[in-house]
Amino acid sequence: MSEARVLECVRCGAAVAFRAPACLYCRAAQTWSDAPPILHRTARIFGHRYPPDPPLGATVLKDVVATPEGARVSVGSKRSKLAVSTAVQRRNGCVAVTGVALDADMGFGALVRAYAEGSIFGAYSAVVVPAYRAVALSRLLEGGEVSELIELSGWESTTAVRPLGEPNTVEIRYADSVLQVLVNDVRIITFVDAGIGYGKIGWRAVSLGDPGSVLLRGIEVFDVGAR
Amino acid sequence: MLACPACATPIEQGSHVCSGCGLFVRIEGGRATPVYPDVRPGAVLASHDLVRTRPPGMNRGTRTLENGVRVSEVAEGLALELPGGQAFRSGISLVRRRDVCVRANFVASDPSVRFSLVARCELMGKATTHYSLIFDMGKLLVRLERVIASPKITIATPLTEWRPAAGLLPVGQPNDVELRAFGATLEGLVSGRRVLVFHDPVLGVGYPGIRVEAIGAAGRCLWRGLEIREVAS
Repeated sequence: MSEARVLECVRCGAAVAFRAPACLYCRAAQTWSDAPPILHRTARIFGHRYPPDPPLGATVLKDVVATPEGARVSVGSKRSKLAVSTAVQRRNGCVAVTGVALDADMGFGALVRAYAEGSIFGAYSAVVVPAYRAVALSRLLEGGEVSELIELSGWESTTAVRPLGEPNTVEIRYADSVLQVLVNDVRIITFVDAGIGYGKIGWRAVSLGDPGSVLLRGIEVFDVGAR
Repeated sequence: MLACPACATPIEQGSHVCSGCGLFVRIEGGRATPVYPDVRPGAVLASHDLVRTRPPGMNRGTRTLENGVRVSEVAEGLALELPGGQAFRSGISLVRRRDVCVRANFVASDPSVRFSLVARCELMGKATTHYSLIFDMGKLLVRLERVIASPKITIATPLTEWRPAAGLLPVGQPNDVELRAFGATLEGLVSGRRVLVFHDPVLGVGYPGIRVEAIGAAGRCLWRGLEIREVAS
């Protein structure tokens, strides 16, 4: 193994659940500190820059348009749009989405562990709303006639989120049930939730009120390690 | 480079674990084959002999549910009479956990009955997600599904094909069935014998339960017992 890994059995390397007393395979006892591990980026495994890359979702979503400043995503009032990459499916990783909100009620962010059952998506989503310097982590089920969202963290308002019109990078680092959200490299949220264990990665844009737009500048995926 | 048999992610040289989905693999003869952990039941978390006790929240006495399912107490357990296309569900939401063994005992009286064990049933507003191990009592087959159910739509993704469930007894005879969920490993058993094992890391946590459905024609089923156990570490 070339990179540091997280939540693996120290004896046999099998995946272990956070706070599991023993390895599933070799039964070796596992020890844990009280706090979740701090996750950090390791190897880069996927990346898009807008421009020049074609925006993720542009082939299926008519409101995603490539522009010289980035991928412009238009969202209707109190609606959301999301796109996932079929190229990357992971249990553990780090997804960073960079963009600019162009309107006050607009937010955007990263999607991880997205899975589809027919037309319905389940995923974790971390979204910033720059006008309120706010960020939240949620678990969602969306598509078709289903639209359910569980706020895992509640909204956190922090100056780490740059204001409206400035670029923000929203990042989710995830390993087993440990989820961490960073904005512009500042760790804001750490949450333990085992609801979804595996899936694709992507972006999400939301309108909390009036219709509006965001400009997405890129999406990157990394492996994660732990300290 | 070898690909993971579960998710097709390339497996790094020298590694026995898929970096994509976490599946442990054995590499021999140029092939990667899944290695599943030995899942053993541990301490009992909840046990209901339906002659005497009920899961929390379930009413006693004979009653007819909104969907026409009739539930009545009989000497041998809980008798369910299901109109065609209707289902009876029961779960223990207090036992919300990732690793669990759910075991039930039942007697189907009609071949239209499908008896399912449910694990990791998680509420998402009005919708739920869960795994379902389904026993078709007409054909004596078993299948594992991943399900999203909402009041308006239910989508079930088959994780395995229908396959013969060795040891599953036909209509009129008692069956003892079990679903063990341990990490990403899901294992189905009939009378203590493994009939199915599958690696699916998507749904991580939720509560266990059962679901009884009548496919096509009306069906009757006697539900006799439910036992929820930890997985032994």
